[in-house]
Amino acid sequence: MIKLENISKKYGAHELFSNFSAEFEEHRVSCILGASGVGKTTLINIIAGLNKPDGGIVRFGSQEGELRGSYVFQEARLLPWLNVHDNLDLVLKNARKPLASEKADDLMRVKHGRGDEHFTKEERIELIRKQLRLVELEPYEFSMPSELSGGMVQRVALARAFAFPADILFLDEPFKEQDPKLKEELYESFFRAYKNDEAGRTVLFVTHDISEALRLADTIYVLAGTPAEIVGKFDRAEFSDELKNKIKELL
Amino acid sequence: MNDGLSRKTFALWARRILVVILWIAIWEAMYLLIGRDIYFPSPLSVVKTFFTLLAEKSSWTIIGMSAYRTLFAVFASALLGVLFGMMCGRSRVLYDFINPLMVILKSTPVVSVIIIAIIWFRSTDVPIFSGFLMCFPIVFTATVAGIRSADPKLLEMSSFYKVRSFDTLRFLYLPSAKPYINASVVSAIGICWKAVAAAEVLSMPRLSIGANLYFAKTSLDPALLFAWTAVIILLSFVFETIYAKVSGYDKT
Repeated sequence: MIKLENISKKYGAHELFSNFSAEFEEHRVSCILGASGVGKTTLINIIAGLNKPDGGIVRFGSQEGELRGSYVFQEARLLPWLNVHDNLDLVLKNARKPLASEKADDLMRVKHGRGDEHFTKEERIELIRKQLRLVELEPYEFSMPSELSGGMVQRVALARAFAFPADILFLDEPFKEQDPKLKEELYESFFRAYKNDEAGRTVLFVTHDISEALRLADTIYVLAGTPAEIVGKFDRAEFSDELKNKIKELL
Repeated sequence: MNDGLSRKTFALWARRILVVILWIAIWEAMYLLIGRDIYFPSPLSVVKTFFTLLAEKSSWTIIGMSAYRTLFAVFASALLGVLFGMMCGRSRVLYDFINPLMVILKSTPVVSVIIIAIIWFRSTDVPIFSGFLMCFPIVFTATVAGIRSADPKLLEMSSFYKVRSFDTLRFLYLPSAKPYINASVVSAIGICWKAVAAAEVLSMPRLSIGANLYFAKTSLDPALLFAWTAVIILLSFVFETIYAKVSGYDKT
């Protein structure tokens, strides 16, 4: 369980969060749905540790502290002078291998029992090929990012995030800029990578798009108001067209 | 398409050659107007002297020595400039410590550097030191700017994925700074040739272009002065072009 306790965050006079508490379950895709400017990105950045809250605590499992995450940003954020393979390899070189016995039931692996071993070169090559296959970019392993389309580079970013041995995967509207047809392809890539993921990763997904949330999420958390609150939580079993309208009203 | 392109290139070169011819004509006209070889040499006498120079074996030793001093100074300033620039680009404290020195160096007249160097060093090393001090701040400042230009979004990504700091330096900071560094080294080469020649005139190493410039002055031979100057200009151009080619930097 990821627990946020009494989080507060201000930007100048603008109070984004005040005594905000929430819980997100592990090993599923949790979607934080909200209008632009409500503080979705700030919220996952606080969980990811990229943004410090003014007050409050983020706990992973029963502990407080740092975790290992991977992140798909709104932009692909690939190094333009490295090819696809080397872009993935860059983040894997320093990554610690998960222990063989490690089952994904304790999020606090960084502090106890995370293997000290790095991936070997062969393991990294295999891992990179596997992830590229899942996002259907295997033939482009040695292409430069500039040679790929916008949808393709975002798929590379997705492959990088899944290749990295993270406990939590953060996605901050990574498909925002794409057209509907491309979005569908990216969703497919996401599902394929997610289903093939042995760790059964915890995913925190931020979006303003209701259809996207209904398509991808196991659980939707609707974020609204100033300061922001979770105004609704819905599980996949409840998803329907009616729910869509209900969420629209909440937003 | 191909035909149109070659016609375009032809037109471009024709225009360039025409410009050169025009300037030589202006030079010749000025020579005729002044009418005294001792003040102003004719283009023809300079070209003649230039080729006489190149035909002499000793000239090549002189050119070799001056080129060695310049290259040494450029190499040292590039190496240390990039090294210090990288450290200061990432550490504000270090930058604030080093930068005043760079600001002063940039405004210090080259002759002041040369004269103090003459007191400190052997005559053959004075040009190297002077060239180095003139070029080091240029490469340093450019590297700092280049390091600071690294995309904060990429930096956030690399710190989030806990990329090793050496890899971040090598794959993120350095490539971001590369165009800045290359541009500064190209301009440093030109400046270094000028600084080295000036230092050679004052410190008078036995084998140096600068000493020969001085000799041309004392023997009242402006054609020789122009010819040696042409050698420096050409060498500077050649070195810049070679560096640009090797580093993949687009001079235009």
